[in-house]
Amino acid sequence: MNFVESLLGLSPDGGDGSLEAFLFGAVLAALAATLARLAGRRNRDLVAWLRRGFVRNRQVVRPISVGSVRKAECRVWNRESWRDQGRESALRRLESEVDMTRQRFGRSLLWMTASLVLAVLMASPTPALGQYVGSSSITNWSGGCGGSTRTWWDDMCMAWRKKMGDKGWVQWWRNYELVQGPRYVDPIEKNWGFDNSTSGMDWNDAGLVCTHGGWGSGRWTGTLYDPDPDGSCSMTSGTMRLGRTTNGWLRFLHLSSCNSIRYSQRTQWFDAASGVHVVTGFHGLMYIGSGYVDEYRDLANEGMTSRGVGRVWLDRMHHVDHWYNSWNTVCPIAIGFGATVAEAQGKHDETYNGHFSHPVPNWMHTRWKSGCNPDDGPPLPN
Amino acid sequence: MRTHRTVVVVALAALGALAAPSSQAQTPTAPPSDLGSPAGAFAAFSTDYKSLVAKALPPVTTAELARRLRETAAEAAAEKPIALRDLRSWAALFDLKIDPAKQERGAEMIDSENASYLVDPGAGRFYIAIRHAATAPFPRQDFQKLLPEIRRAHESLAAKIGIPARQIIFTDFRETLAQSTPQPKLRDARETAIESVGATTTQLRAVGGLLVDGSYVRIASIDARRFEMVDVRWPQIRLAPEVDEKSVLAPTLLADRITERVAATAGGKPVSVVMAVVLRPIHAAPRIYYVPSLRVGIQPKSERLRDGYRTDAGEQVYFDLVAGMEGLADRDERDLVPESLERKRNAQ
Repeated sequence: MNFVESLLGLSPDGGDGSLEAFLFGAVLAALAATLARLAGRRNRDLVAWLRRGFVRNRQVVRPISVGSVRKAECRVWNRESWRDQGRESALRRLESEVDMTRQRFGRSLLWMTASLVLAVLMASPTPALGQYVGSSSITNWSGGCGGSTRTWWDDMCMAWRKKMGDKGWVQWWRNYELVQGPRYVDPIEKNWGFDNSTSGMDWNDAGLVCTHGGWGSGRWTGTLYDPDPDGSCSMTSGTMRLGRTTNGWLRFLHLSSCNSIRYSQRTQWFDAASGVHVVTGFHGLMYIGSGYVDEYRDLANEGMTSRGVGRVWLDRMHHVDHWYNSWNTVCPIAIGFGATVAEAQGKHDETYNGHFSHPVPNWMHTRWKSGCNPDDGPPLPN
Repeated sequence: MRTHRTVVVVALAALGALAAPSSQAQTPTAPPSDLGSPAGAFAAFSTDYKSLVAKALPPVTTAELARRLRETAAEAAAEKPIALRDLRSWAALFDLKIDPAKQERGAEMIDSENASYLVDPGAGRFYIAIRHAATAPFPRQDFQKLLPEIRRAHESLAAKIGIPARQIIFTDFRETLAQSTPQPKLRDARETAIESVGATTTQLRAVGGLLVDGSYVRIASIDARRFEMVDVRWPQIRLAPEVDEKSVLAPTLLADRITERVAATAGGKPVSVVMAVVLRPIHAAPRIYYVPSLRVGIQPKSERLRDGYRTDAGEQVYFDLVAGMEGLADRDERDLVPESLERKRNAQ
């Protein structure tokens, strides 16, 4: 442990060697906050400027905007149900209120927030602060979209998210009745989508969606809690745009959902790839139960620094369930994206703390266990 | 000449058998076991849940289950612990240097220069991930020639670790395959052939003939020399204090409760059901205890929609086969530790 690390109480095991970036970011945040205070610069402009110029250090930048909009956001949590009731104008009014609040609170809170962030960063045991991990799960489909109850699904998802939280990531969760369509839809695709906002899945660096899935028309169809504003109960790759290119943040998307990457339909994920590095899911049926909780925790534990997340997904989620007189298998699939074949291959070695460059999705590199033969699906190529 | 030709044909057939099937999962052993559902139970879908459950119930009787449990306890008592005792012996297996400052960190993941490892001897858990320089995928024909050697290397490592061969009930060996696909807009680019990026062995465990859930060895490697990940979960078998041969129940005695649960999971739709008598782990840190339990797998039938299929996730639930504990396994995780173990844990 060097002098700086010991001074800050940083564990050399806790991160990915990004200490320099972390310190650089902290200094930048302090400078930017001071400048803004002196110049009276508007918070939104400042945040946009910081994001443009210092994307790599957003662990310092992002909490500023979180703090400034949180109060107003509390009032629009149930925006989807408002839409269901046809109260579009009221919804628009609330959304504009969020924007107003950003401006009103932004300037005065900026200085305090920046100071607070700096203090937290200095006291943090790990430089992973500010990386966001998000999960969404449903156990009872009591809303407008039907589905069979699976009581252990939230425990599986939560185990992953909480282990990521233990590693210093900031936790985000929207479960049960909050699993509503717009949260997973990019505004480029639908004007009611807000996946890049603080309430959206693409706000996170790593996300996990746990819900029933189906397949058809070349795509996975994840079951929502309520119909989206277009009346659909499906979350699909067709309306997702994940990653930096479309103003989101996701580097890793995990889908704990049947047929989320059916082998014959894997190229659907090109449509959603907008800077996302790795997408993982299942070919055929997957199972829910107490026996599966630990492997989601292991995914977080092992994927943080020890092995590429794509590799861990394949080894952890592949099951051989033995029943004495028969056995069945659960078949995970992992996809890495890249501008070249080599880059797409390399994404399978990226750990959660790896921070490889954001890829142009010219290629996808798909991996699976040979001949894995799931329930309700053909065997994978052998 | 004919003899010579026959030898060549037999040799080629043997080579083919070794090289061709990349997934060399063993088929279940015959004759049929009375601890599991009859083969094919998962293929029968119905909304008559009572009948489904009746057909899938393992026929093992209370007396027979008590006998199996005695055998399990005897085998567990006679079992020598695996050769690994601590972080030092684990690291030595892979010629790893350990930072002495990190040795006392308990069951936490530790990162070293070229590997990460986790050692928890109390829970029989030994994990290592070794980082290698990036390697390009292998053409399949080349990799298939390596498969027998890789398989032997995995088996040899498991033996070195001290995994008792008699407790391995099932071995699954598979390649990890890969394929690169271009964006449709890249008109001149072509999808690559399927390639190999490694192979994985999974060995499942049974003690006294009873499957031990959550206990296995998994070894992944790039080739026969470069191990990439080794995960050993081979705890000592200790039955929970509530469990004795007088308290065990045959699965048939729980038919009504199981039917009720299957109906709740199915929600009126057709499902199939499969069951197995297993030892279910109960984590009472720092130890793991086991309870004889009935693992029930429920598979919903996919539902045809206008533009595709709806495929609700399957579910696995447990019913403990111990008098007075029948309902325990269905509760939330924090309630799963029996009261007696809770007392024991608090006393430690």
